Amino acid sequence: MERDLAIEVLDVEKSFGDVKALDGITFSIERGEIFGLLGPNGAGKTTTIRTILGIILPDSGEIRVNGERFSSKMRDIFGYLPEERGLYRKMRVGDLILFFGRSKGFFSRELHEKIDFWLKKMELFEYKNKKIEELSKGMQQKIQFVITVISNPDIIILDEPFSGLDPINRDLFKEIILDLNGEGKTIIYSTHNMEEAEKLSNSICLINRGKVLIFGKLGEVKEKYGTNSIVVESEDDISFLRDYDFFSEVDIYKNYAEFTLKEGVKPIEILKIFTEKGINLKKFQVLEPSLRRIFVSSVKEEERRAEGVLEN
Amino acid sequence: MFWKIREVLRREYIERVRKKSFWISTFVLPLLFLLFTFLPLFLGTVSGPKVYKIGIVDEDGYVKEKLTSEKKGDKGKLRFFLTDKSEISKLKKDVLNKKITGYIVIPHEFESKGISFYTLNTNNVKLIKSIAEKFREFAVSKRLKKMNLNLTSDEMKKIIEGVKVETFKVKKKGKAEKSNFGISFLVVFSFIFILYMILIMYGAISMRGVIEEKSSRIMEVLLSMYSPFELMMGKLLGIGFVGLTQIVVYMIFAGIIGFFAAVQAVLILPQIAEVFKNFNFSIFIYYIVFFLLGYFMYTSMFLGIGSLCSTEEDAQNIQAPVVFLIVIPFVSTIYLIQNPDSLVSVIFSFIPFFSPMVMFMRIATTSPPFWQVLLSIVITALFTIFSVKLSAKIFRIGVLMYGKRPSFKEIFRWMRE
Repeated sequence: MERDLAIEVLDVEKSFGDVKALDGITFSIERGEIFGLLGPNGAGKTTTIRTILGIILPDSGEIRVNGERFSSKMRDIFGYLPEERGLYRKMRVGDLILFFGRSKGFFSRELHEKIDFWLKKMELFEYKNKKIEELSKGMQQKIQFVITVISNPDIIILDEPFSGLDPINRDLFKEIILDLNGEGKTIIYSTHNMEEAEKLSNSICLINRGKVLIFGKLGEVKEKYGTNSIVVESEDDISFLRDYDFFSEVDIYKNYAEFTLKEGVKPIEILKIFTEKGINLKKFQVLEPSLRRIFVSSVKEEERRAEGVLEN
Repeated sequence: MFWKIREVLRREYIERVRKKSFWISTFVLPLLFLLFTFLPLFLGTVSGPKVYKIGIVDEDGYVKEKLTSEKKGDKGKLRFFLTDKSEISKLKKDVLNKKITGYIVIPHEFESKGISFYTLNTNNVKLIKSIAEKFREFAVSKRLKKMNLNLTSDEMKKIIEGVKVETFKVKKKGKAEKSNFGISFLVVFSFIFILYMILIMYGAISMRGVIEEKSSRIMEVLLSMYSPFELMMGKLLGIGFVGLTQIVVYMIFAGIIGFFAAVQAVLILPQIAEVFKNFNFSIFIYYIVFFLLGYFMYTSMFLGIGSLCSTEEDAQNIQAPVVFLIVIPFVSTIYLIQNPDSLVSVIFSFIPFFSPMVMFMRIATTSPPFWQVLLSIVITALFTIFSVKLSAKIFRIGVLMYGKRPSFKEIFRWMRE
């Protein structure tokens, strides 16, 4: 079946002075997905997003939106929540949302209904005629979110949408994102919080130093990278595992260990060690590794490779 | 693209016109200006006693004699009454009790020594002037009498009457018109001063707007919706309309003053009325044309500068050159106003930056040939387009830059791109 692609990023490069922010990035996003753009700080997530939005132009490569090359008309397809939030502090809430709605070419009477709808949903309806500066930070975050979605955009791009939110707003936003996705909207968001990405995304793209390390459906990624991961918990000291050489990735504490076995090593061999030593196990689980683990290991691997290149 | 510009324009206009500071500078300031300039004039004519009672202590004797002989026909506001030296303490008391306005002590040979006027309010210039006039008459007639020329009071008046100097403004078309240099200088000056103020003020306002959007990070949301060019044009036009609104309001105020002054010309402000009679409507049109040219030229530069800065402190340093480009033409215009047709004035009226103020000044004070006016407008307009384009290039890159301000070398590279 032909994949219905909302966005294609094809071999995009972008430099700022001597710094190569994007070094040949390629990935694609299917319509109706929740797509997680992951990477450590400074990996190039925001630059990638800005390139997709046409805020900055790539030095080379191409962005396609709905199969077409980017043009300024496409701006109105997107709803964008930038990482660094900002609103006109002196404007009234209603006027502000109205302005951003109209900025997207949304002029009909429906816009006013939409504004009321969203303000009610965010429990801010009584603040409609208040100035932004009179609102608390949490309320301003909600307004910023309303601005992002007010024009009913097909593609919603959220740069670190959960950073700086209190738990209540976090849950609210998550719920709204899922609702919007249920309505068929494509959601793209960036984060460095892997646990979150794991729960929310259909597909992920992991970037580091301007390069794509991993890209694909979440399940496929886990399957590919996720063999032979083991979690052990015990009341006894199991830190002796550090002396063994079975693991490619380890995270061992006194009573807890999480590790990936080297190729060819079977989980049963590890279990044997515990029985030989008479260790009381509380938990022994073979599992898909967490995204965090995949992330850390592939970033490390990439760094090792980069150093290797330098040494040669 | 045009509706995008319109949306930015609309927001800029509405938000700024709603601000208190706009209302104050547009309506309250001119009202205060009116109040402070015209109220004293107005009060001066309306109030004050009908007649001034003034005691005369004459040690010379001539004035006494003169006053008793001509008493019947005296109609002026000055009511002299004769008294003598022994009454001075009583006169003093009367002055303090406001029974009389004051008293005059006339020494022997007052025509060379002068007289002394004792009163409560020594600032009443009008009264003092009319006393001086009256005593000039007395002095002249006394001097003539010494030369054995005995004249009646009417003959006296004819002899000492001065000659009025009327000034006429020579125009290309039609007859020479009466003008009044002192006042028209003042009016042209205030027109140019307002132009200067507005250019500086709106330049600073628009620059601050961009910096605010950058520092509040709202810029990024805007850039996901607008191209930098749309954003800059929207701002330029939106804030420009605010300025235009203000100027139109000022002109309406000026019109109202002109109207009332014309109606009450004889009563209160004959000179002002005359000035407004001389200003024809085209001056206002030219004013708006040169305001717009100057506005777009300077404000686009301020927007470009604003886009380079992340904080207001950054802007303070970098904006100085542009501020100079407004201040220097303003100061030059004030000098050139005395010589609007000198070669320097003519040349300056074709140089962008100078042209808006200098050319307008020339139009308002003399009648420059129409081709000069047109040439000045065309040159300035072309330069303004150039300035807007250049600023747009800087703006496009500047708005996304944070932190370190780019070097002039970098800015220069963007301009060439």
